[in-house]
Amino acid sequence: MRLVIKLLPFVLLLISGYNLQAQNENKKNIFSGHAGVSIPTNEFAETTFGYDAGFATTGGNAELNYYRYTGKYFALNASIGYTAFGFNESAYTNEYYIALNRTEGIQTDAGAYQFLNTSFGLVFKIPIGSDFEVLFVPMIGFALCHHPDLVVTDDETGVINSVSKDNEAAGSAGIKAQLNYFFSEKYGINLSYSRFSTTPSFSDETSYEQHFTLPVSFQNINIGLTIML
Amino acid sequence: MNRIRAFRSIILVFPIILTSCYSTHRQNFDKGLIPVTPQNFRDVNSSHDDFNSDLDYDWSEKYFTLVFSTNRKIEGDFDFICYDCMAYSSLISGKFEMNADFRESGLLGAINSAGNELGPSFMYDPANGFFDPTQLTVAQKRFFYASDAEGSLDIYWAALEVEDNEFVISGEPVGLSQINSGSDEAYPTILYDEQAKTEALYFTSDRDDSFDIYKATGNTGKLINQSTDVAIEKVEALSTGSDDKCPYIRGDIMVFASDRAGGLGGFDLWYSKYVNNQWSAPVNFGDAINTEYDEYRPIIADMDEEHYLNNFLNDLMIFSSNRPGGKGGFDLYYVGINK
Repeated sequence: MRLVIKLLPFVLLLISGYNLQAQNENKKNIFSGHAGVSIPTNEFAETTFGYDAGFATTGGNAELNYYRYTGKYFALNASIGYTAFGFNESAYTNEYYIALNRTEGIQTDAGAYQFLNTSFGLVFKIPIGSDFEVLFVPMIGFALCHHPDLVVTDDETGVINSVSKDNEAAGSAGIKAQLNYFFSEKYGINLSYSRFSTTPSFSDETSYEQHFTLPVSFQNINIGLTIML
Repeated sequence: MNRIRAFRSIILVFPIILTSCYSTHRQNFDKGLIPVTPQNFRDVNSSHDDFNSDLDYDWSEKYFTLVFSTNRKIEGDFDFICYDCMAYSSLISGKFEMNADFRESGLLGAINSAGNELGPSFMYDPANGFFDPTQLTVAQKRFFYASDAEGSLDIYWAALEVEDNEFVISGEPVGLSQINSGSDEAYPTILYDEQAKTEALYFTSDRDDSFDIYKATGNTGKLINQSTDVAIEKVEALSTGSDDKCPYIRGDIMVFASDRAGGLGGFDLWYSKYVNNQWSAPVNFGDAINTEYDEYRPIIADMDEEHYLNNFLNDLMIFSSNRPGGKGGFDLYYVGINK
């Protein structure tokens, strides 16, 4: 499955290349860059010892997009984005206190989740007046996912849980809604809302299974600049 | 030709898609963790006295058999009973459970008498390997205990054999005449010296007024029950003028009960390490385990690589106590202790 997902973007690129050649007369290039806040959702945001709880805290992201219009209402999109989330150490520690019926003596040390996401999508544009437009962009791609070092130490027993940092690639999917406002013929500003999900499989040498899958999903709220070439 | 290639591709990709559907969850515990505060083992306790346990691992390596003394059947008469138990710890939630089901045992039925049976102890023949539940052979396992059926407490042993997938006694229990005296002897436990090829049986006796811990060393190359010349000496490092009882050895650790000074009141649990052929100064388990009430007859399940419990970060200790909050009399408790 991972192989198929990794190959899908290339397949999509080939198809889009064919499309671009066919509609060369409608060529129009737009770049946009934006940054903002990233909010973990679903299991990734959970802070209890359930299956797949991610204990992720609110983070930040930055993203670059390229749009290639193939007509008045349709375009192809390629984007690359970087997102980072903190690990909720205090909530994680608190779960150990609840599980072990303790009130002290446990420490959690963790780094940050990081994702480098490359996506390709189809763009549906709805013009609003002469200066505004709304874009809807369903996307698929792949993400390079980083699980941070995670160590939980118990004063009584020693290290009771550890996950070494690991980088894994996985297929990703997302959807984005973007509002563009052009204050000149060439430049504009944008406000976007997007959701992404991916399910990387990380190694965990000290666990019984020695690996695990982590459902990751988050939403981004960004503002940025749009440049029409 | 292209269709054949496409078909081949589908055949190759399909199993990859199927196998990728298997997912595992992040575990919040590298291994199981036994609670570090004593927990009442409610599944096995009664309103009567329940104490003096030992445990034995099952062939399946998933369960252990707990044998202990109780007077629940006949008031004033302590007999052995057994339970099939399972220790389970969720590696995601951290929840720990000890479940137990009562089991009739032909072995214990043959050992119980009109007297009191105390201090059960399963032993392995070191010549055949101390501990390998999956490779168990006949005559590899012995059962030691104490009984006062003939007056004072004496130590007995019984050879075990397998019959219908269950241990049964082979022959009659035999008293260790080399060790028993007119005083009380009880709570046998064995330390095997690999270099000297001797078995040393540690036990408690009041042959010198108060209960102290003694060591009986057998002949070279022979089991303690086969030895004819047994040297008996008091272990001064572990004995005091108070009562020192219930020694139990696992690996290089001895745990025992004593009402010596320095405790929290009544009998407390203590441990000592065997280093350079000597027992270290006993250490009290502290107020996390001991109370002002009696704590008695500790046993340890060491979680080395051979055992099914090896997926725990700490070792399991079971002991008895008459502390408040139990079902009545002495109850069995379990607690996790550092390896």
